[in-house]
Amino acid sequence: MEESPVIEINAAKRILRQKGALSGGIFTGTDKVRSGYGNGDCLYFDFHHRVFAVADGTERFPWASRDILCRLSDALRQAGVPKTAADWKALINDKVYSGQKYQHKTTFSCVAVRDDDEDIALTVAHGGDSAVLVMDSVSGAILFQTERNMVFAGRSPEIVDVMEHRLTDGNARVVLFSDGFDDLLRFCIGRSFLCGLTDAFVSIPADCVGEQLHCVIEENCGAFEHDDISCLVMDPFRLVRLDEGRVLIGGTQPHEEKHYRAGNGNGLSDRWLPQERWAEAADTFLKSGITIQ
Amino acid sequence: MAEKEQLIIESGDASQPFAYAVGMHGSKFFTETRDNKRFMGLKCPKCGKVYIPPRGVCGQCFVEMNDWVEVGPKGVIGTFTILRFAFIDPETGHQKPVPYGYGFIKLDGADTLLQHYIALEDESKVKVGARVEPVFAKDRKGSTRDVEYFRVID
Amino acid sequence: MAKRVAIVGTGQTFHKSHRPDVNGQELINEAVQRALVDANLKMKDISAILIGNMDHFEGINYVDCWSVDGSGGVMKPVIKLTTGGTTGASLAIGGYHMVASGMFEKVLIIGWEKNSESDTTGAITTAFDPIWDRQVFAGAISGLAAEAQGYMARFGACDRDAARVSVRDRKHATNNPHAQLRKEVTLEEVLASPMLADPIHLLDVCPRTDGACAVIMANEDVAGKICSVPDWIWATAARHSYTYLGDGDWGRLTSMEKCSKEIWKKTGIKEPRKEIDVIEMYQPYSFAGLIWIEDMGIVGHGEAPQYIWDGNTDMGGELPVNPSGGVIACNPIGATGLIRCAEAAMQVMGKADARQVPDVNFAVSTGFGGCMWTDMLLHGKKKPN
Repeated sequence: MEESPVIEINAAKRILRQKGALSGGIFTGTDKVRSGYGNGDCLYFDFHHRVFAVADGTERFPWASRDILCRLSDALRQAGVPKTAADWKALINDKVYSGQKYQHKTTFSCVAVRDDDEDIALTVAHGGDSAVLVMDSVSGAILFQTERNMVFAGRSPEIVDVMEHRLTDGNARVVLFSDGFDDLLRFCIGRSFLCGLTDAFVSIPADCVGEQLHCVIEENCGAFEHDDISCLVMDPFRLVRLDEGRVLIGGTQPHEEKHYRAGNGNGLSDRWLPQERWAEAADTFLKSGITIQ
Repeated sequence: MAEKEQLIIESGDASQPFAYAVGMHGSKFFTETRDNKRFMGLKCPKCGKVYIPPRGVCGQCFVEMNDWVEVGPKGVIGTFTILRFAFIDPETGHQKPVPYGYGFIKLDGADTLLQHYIALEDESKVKVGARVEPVFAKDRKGSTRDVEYFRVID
Repeated sequence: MAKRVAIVGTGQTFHKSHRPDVNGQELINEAVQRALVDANLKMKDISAILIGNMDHFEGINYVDCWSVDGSGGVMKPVIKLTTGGTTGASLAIGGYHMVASGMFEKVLIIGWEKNSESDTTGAITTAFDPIWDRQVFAGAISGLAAEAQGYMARFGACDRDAARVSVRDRKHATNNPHAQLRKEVTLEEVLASPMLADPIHLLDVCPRTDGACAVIMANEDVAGKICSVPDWIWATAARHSYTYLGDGDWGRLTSMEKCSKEIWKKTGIKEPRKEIDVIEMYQPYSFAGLIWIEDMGIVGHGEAPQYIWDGNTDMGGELPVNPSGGVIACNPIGATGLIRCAEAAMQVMGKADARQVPDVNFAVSTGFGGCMWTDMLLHGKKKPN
């Protein structure tokens, strides 16, 4: 916690990072760009409650993912962070899953980080085919992984998987990603950039992963087809706690994507803005599908 | 105001009522299940095949069937699946509770399969060929729901 | 008066998960315009129109009425035909009958669907018996899962065998610009995708698609003048089987067996595996890629997994199946069967571009739907005797 809590957003790249601890971003699917669709992936960063989540909405209702994460945000603001896994389950069922329309199908994978003496306690709530992964950043060993299931919000009235996982080792990294990440991974393995899933997170510091992904996707534009990709990596031992600062990236409607694409031609928004400048950049952020709450 | 999307007109949460006649053969089946907890099938006079659910005509032979025979109530799983995705149940308008076992039950003495729920107390025992028995509802009204589900018996 | 019949042009939309930019009639029109361009014909040349989709899927029926501006049906004979999942293939067979009868010289056949406009499982449920089927029924997936379980129990195949089929079709789809899903997947990804209904994973099954397909058939008097290499229809077959889902012979598709036997007999095909060059199968999930080629008589019962693993049905293999990527990559249901027919025709006509199988003399297309029904067409380069 000695590090200065620098949290920055790059609106052009749609990436958020906390130096030394975390980065996450979204990338729009190749066919979504061609078809003029929205980006159905949405990330939620909540440094106040230390809750982070990914949602991947159906192609037809891409904003479904943003809707559900907004409800999560509202529920946390009202009720605070639940104390037990059972409380988490109740909160998600009553305040988050229950309000999701049937047609607005979306995945929901959420991680709450809590200090527990020297250790870190994670509460993972998960439904659908996005994923939460905990790995050892030195050995690459997978310590915890959610299974993909059909408990999508909207379709299922209740979430099933709410699990607790305790971290004692400072090398642990927590990763959240949507199924689009598989496409990137398959491509990288095919081109021998990577040998496997964990490589991506072993070799690159958590706060650089977002930019690195952006770089690989940009450089190989046209070389492979991918779905909307969202990915968030963190070192849970080095997260800052802020009074303010809830950020949603993605879950955009088609016209928002159009604005985003049109607005980034000149490269002006391709810079890292620290938190104190977010208010003045609200308009630029909005055009990139980023909202600060 | 933000730019408009291509507009979508939604139906709203409308519902439309239906009333389906079961017919005389189906009515006999349901009456027997309700009153006597037994399953009745119809046997084809030509090919000898015993049909569940009962219907007036054997489609293969295209002859009328009047020969009622009792089948089951025990049987084996002919085939099955376990449904793991929720969808809107047209009978209730609500999402179906999942997971649930969906069985095609070959009742003893029948040649076709009866579709019903299979209890998932132990998923590993739910297999093609597993022996099953019905669990009847206490309050029976004359419908497929007079059987709550089938369960695997060892 | 009976005439030989050939396909002289085909057209498809670029199929997508949803097409909010067009309504049904406009979607239909895109496919019709492309078919007319492909055949170098004008709407005035068309003698009659046959159109169909899945009843109830958009909550609007009578497509023959409301689509006339887009379909080109103004002041022409227009007939609607719908037979559930087989609709597209039944349309092709119906169009063949119309032209073969000698009553119509050129028939425009249209299949379409906007799956995005309703809930597919809810819509499909209305096609099944309300008393006996509905209580446990869970849309198309549940019946297919029951078939897969039956097949595995009887013949010992496993989910990995099926995943291989999904990997094949999804790879093939990358060559087809019209397919909705054009992304390769790995075996591991298929098996790690969520379980929908045991043993079917999410990546084992077809998506829901908005799309339309149009095919123009002409009789032998004009077919050769319209195009240099017409796709001749050699034979068709259709079989419906049972009433309730519980009546099925789960693990075998008997309707496919009967259709193929009829077609091989009608046309004198002795060794379909050697004589057929390509198959466009209405294969809504991966296990069907195993089960149904056995029922078709390509390989014996229980032999499909090995045949598939050996690459025989891949592009470049002995008998490529679904060069288009098939139904797993794209499924605008009322159009799906007709797309199979159009794709088979394109293979015969040499118009399949990146997904072309070399030197196709005979192609098979099929339709599947309803209570495990099958439709089947044999397409050939040579004019039938």
